[in-house]
Amino acid sequence: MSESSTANPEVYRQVVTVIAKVLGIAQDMIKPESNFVNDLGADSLDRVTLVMALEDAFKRQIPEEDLDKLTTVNSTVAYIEKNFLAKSQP
Amino acid sequence: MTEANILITGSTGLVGMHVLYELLGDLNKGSLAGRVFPVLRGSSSFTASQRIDRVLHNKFVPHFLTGCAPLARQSIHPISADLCDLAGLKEAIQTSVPTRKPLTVIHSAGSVNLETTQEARDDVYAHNYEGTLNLLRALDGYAIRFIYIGTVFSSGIQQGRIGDDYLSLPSHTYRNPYEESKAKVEFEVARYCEEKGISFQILRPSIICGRVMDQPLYYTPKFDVFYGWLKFFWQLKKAELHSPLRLCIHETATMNVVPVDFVAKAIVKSVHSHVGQLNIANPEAANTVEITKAALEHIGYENASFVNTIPTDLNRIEQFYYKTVGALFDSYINNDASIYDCSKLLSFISPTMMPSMREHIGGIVDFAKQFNFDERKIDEAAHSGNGW
Repeated sequence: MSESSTANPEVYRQVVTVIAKVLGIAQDMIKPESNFVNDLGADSLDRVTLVMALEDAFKRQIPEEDLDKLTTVNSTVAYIEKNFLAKSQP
Repeated sequence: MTEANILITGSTGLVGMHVLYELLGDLNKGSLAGRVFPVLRGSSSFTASQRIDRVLHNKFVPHFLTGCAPLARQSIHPISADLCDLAGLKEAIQTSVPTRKPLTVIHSAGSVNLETTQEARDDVYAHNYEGTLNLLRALDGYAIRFIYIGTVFSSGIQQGRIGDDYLSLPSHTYRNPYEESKAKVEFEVARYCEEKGISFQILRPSIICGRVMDQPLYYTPKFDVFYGWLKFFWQLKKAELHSPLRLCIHETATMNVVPVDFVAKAIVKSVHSHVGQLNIANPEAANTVEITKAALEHIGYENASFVNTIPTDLNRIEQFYYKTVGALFDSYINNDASIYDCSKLLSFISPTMMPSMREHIGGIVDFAKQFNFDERKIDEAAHSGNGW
């Protein structure tokens, strides 16, 4: 699995695991820059499932207005780091 | 034997493809004589001819067409044109289709976009309404018989038994722009054809699923509509999302599903009949709860229960369900007010030909699962070996 140079490796690994499960693809097909629709072939229902599965994995909700920010693996990892991890820290 | 050329649209779609198979079967049996002209666009990957080749030469072509490849090459003449471009369409048809022979036109192309956004409205009006009017105008000068493939849902929301004549229904309230566009097209087809003295038929299938009569069973090139709804549960299963999901489906709700091969056979038989308008629906609509339970069992999704009203305390999965596929399909899965009158259909198609959805729902779901409800995967599988 290739990893984003700036991402938290654990978050990156979890995100890739979720994407692979939802889209039914091998983890090594997923690159940091992969776009869910253009590169990984996700349709609108796949994207909805991805959001549900990410929420389930990280135990946090993603507001509807933020859904369009999650377009690539990198943008998803960055979103989770910024909105989930930063807010969890004291 | 029927001697006429046939022009068909939508021949790479679910219904049109199966109508093409039936026509080829009739040509092979000698009950039809003439040439078949599928009108279709090229795509970014394939020309119009290549797209028809892919319909006719793949692993899922019905077995009754085994050995028909030479006949197909001789009889089927693709026309590359876009229904949204009247001038180009007219030129392409006039260049390819002789005017001296009667022409039966089977128009099944269209968009099945059930969303209610402005984008969806623009899509269905361009493809369903303008596309149909362009086709009629492009055929000016031909001696045509026009067969329009509509949908039973162009009746809009109606109570009770719905007969075959929708053009006389008193009032229409539609679930979405798709239904509205299909109904508007029907009125335009009737008006145009009556004005020009053209014989026409309006044939209306209900919800269509994959093949259940002809081998190989359960094939469908598309996983939309009925499959799109079931795919939601498949996705939850794959993602291992185990929160309970309370599905609002009325105990008395019914779902009228017809297999595509039955629809195609009914269309081709209707073409040889004198029916004007026809419901191609299942005379025995299935109870939605019963069908859904059977489907979910085959999907392997165990977290659903059934309720009569949408709960107010929705969990996160339920919120997503009711905002997405639930919102899109609710008025179809909870359709307990309409019954489609199929007596005319059954007057020329034996009731024994009508497959039971209860019997086949497992096979339909298992087939879709095998390809992850993914149209690209079924397309890859279809062309991974040689057809015929």
